[in-house]
Amino acid sequence: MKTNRRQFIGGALGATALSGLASPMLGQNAPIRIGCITTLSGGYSLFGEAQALGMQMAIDEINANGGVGGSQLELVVRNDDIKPDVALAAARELQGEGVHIYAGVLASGVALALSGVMEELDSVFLNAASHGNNLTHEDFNKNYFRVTDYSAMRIWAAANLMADRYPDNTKWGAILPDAEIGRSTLEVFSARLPQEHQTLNGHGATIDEPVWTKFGSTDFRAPIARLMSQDIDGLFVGLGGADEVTFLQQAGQLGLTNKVGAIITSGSEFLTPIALKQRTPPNYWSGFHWYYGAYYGENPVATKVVDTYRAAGHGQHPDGFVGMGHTAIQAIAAGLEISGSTMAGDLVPALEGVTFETVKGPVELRAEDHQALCDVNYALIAGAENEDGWEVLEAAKVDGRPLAGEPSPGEEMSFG
Amino acid sequence: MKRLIAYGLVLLFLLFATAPYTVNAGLVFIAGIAMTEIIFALSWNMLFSYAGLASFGHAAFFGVGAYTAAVFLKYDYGLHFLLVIALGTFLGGVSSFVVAIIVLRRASGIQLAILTLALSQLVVTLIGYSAFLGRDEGIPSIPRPVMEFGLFRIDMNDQVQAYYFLFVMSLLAVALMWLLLHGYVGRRMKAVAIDPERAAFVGIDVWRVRVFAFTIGGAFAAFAGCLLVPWAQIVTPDLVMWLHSAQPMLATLLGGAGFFWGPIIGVLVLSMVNYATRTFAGLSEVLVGGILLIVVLLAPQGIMGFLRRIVERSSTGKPAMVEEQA
Repeated sequence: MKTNRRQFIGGALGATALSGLASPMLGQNAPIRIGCITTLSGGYSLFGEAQALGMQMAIDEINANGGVGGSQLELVVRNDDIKPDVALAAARELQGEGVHIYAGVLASGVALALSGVMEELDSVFLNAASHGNNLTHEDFNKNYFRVTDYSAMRIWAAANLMADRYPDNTKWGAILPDAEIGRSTLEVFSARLPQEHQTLNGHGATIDEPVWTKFGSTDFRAPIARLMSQDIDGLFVGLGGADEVTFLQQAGQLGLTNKVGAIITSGSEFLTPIALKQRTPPNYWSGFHWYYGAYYGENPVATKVVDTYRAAGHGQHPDGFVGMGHTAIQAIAAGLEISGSTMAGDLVPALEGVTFETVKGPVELRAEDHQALCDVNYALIAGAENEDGWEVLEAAKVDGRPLAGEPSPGEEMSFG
Repeated sequence: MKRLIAYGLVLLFLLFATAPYTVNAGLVFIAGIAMTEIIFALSWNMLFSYAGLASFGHAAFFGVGAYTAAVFLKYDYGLHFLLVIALGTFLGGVSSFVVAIIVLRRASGIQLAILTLALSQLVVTLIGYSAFLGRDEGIPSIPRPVMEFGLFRIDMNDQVQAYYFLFVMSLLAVALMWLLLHGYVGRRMKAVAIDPERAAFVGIDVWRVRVFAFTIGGAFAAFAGCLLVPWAQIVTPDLVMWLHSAQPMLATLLGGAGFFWGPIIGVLVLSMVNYATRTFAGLSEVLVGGILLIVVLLAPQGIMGFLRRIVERSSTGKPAMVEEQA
């Protein structure tokens, strides 16, 4: 059948108009579309792909059980290229196609940009990874929710863990990116480590002059030399991603990892052991959005996610990005069940204070600042002579609720 | 060829003018970004095709405008947004003038390219150390301005009003550049670009013409930066990076260097490729690279040059012997 120009233009205009008129109520024939905006290119794409996979796994599971309120869920994935403007373009495009629920994002800068326009787009955004303290404090927006822990919780847990496991290591050094996330991370660690040592061990701890680097650095010899010259017995690494792997590899070659008695990183999951294998530094603790091993066999949601992940041939070790992608969809489903509508005006109050089952057990989205109250996960990982080349020696599941601090949306956090 | 250009421009005008009512909000947003990129690319083309200057750091001036507008809107200094645009454009002009009088004295060709590239990267580094400018994260969640004009007001919080404000300002900028380059000033610049020695021989002050072109080009780039801010609501150092400086070059090469309208075609093609490949991570870079390779090999004068060759072949049966400015 031939389509003439007039029919084509008419059809295109009609389709465009209809796409913006999707019904907001559940139980209609049309699926509920969820926009997954995450990083699918560059050095962080592994994390973004895992995040999208976790979301799709949750959606498949929900749809297999009849959907939410009779509606099926559908994931629409867009690459943010880890750039705020690209993420904004994607959100506006999807909003034009009737999407009002967004999930995902890795970088805090991207999350902040999206959070800032959600109200204008009459949409809700469930952030599944970004750690910036500001997102639920001074830059809080009411259509923004965070389903994972955040910097203040994660780093406080790190301080608690280090003071507990290494009571005699009291002279710490730190290497961080010269960016907002690095500065806020250091602020928390500097405040909490001495405090935790005092509480648990009856003595304080010091953090030497921090070493700052730029994102994407490839040569860490000068920062390592500075750290080697410091009188330290513990090292906090806040670099994350590929930067952390490169740093630890060079730190191992130059003897720094053997000099310090403990190394803790804020959250690179399995990235370092996968890259370094047997060369993974000794006494190396990695932060996780979710460490599956701490929940597998005990938590049915986690067990199912791990089994499905393995059965689908994705590997043996789902990371925290899979878990938090899954959690974001669980949160959306819980909110939709309560609100019965996809519109932000209904969904936001439904999500405030909601408690739902996740891979980490029951998680509450705190009503005041929309921050998830959940466990914080760390794992002690070492190189090993097995198929992976590494193994988890110990998993730590720290209750994050007391570490989340008092909600103070609109106000900057203070650690004084 | 002129008739073809006229038809193309009318079609383009209609597409942009009706976009808020014919395409989805995502495409409208991309159209808004494309308008600022068009001004940016035309300002670079003014230097390259008309004054013979290849700047590899043009994004620095775009950044001057963008960060000026961002600071005034974010920290709410209460200045009318039109005055903010005027100030941003002025600062872009002043900074490009300063760069021009320092750099153009001694450098041209590859030296100029490297020096401008280094200067723009220096600006990126300086932003990275400024908490006021948001360091590496930039300035997000920038509020959109509301402009009072006595008889009427423009509220840029309304997406349609914001779009048409951008549209009108972009048209003004394009018209101004066209008038500038198709008059006395443009001819002097062209003379300098074609043969600086001969231009000097007939009494043209080559250095002054180049400084003027560099200053005006920087001012228009800053103007584009000012316009982008209320639309995108975020500025980051990426806007100043060399990768952004490369965008007008790619657009000009693709659309046709030597043609006033070439960069517009280039920006549109690049925007369309990016949009069409948005669901395939990494594919847009491969496609853009492939298209550029094809253009360089098969149509070195870009899409406009290719079209002109076709038009002239079909009308005369022979390829054109003399290249003329479209």
